[in-house]
Amino acid sequence: MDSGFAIWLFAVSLGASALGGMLGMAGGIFIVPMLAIFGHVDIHVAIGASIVSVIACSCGGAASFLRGGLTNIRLAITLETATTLGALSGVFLFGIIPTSYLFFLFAAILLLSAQQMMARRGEPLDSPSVVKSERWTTALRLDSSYPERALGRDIAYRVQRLPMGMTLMFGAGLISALLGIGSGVLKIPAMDTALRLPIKVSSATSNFMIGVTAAASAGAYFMRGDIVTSVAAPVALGSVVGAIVGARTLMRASNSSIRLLFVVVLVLLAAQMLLQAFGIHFLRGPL
Amino acid sequence: MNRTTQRVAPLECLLAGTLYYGTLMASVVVCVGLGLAMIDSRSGAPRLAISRDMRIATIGIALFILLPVARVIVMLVAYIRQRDYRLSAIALLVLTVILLGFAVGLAGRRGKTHAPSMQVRGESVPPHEVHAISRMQDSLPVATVCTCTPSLFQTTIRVEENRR
Repeated sequence: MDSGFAIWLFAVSLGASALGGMLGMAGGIFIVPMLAIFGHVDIHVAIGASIVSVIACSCGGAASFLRGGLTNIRLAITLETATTLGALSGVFLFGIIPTSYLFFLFAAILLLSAQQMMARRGEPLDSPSVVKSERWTTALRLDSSYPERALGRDIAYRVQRLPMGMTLMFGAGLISALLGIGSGVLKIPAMDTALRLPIKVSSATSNFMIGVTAAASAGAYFMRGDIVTSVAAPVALGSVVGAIVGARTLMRASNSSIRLLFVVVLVLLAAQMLLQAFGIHFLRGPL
Repeated sequence: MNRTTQRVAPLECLLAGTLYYGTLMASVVVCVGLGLAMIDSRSGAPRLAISRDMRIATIGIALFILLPVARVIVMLVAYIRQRDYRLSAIALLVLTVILLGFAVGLAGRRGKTHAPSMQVRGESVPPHEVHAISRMQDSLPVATVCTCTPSLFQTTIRVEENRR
């Protein structure tokens, strides 16, 4: 592992994170396959490095959402109980699950992301005023409002179906720990379908939660010695720089062309991960 | 615009500051460690992972991981001060789960007979590098023996142990 490889890692994470940042997602979903396929890094090492970069991106991006008043921190900390418990379960599974299954799971998540990228997200349908408050959300005072710049006033919203949201968040935490990604792909349906949050609020709150979720698993991997500094350090640094670059270019590039580029990249990576899964499976079969 | 900025609660501002400056600090530490290690590797040390400066980068990574923990602690203290005991309990639960994660990792390291796979770029890492990494992470390099040339590997490690 020479300086050249460190620079390669830095560049790849910068690119992945910038690409992700353009559509407001973490780059982990690109970083792990890129390191595993092109860098020939062991997938466990790649996941360990990626989970650190996920924390870095989440924490770095959270400040602007918080200052903008978009993040619902009361809801975030409530849902974090589910995501961190999920992450802890993922830590237990991480060592047990065979590597080829990890590749399969990753390919499935990549395809799911591609599918989500094709179907554009719309605002939740029912208007907030019609819905009555639920017991849990009232007890914890989770309902809130956010400033809508376009209308120049605050918009109130209610949090719905908290138990279902919590269940989906547990799954998101589990996948996040297992694959070293922010798993926005599972958080978004949880936020849209179950909790019925406005898109801006759900993006900001999801970003805020990702850091804590990842910290639960990253802490375990770090203490266990699964995080290799010479890989994780350039990846973390590249992701932070990439996230800044991505957020800047978000305004300039047209949305639909990035979307298409994303879908193509995701499907290609998924195909490669599937091949890798089979390859490892066949290699290990006869032995 | 100005009105909305003023409307944002002090806790949100505090959290934004914590996360922003925390990320900045951790990034700088990682950057310094990595930079020094790369300069070192140019002027003698053949492999990046041996460099002592890599420890600085490791501290930076630890800072990144501790940053969300600090964020939860800030929220916990704030909710206790606001006498919002329900959310304090929730924050405490989240903190406990994260710390449990650290404990599980620590237990996993103690119980583990082998260090993590050091197979990088499809080749097994040379012994001196494994030695450096294991010294850094305080674990035995025995099972880092990867796919190729196990016999060669074992001999080298035995030599290392003898030297001690």
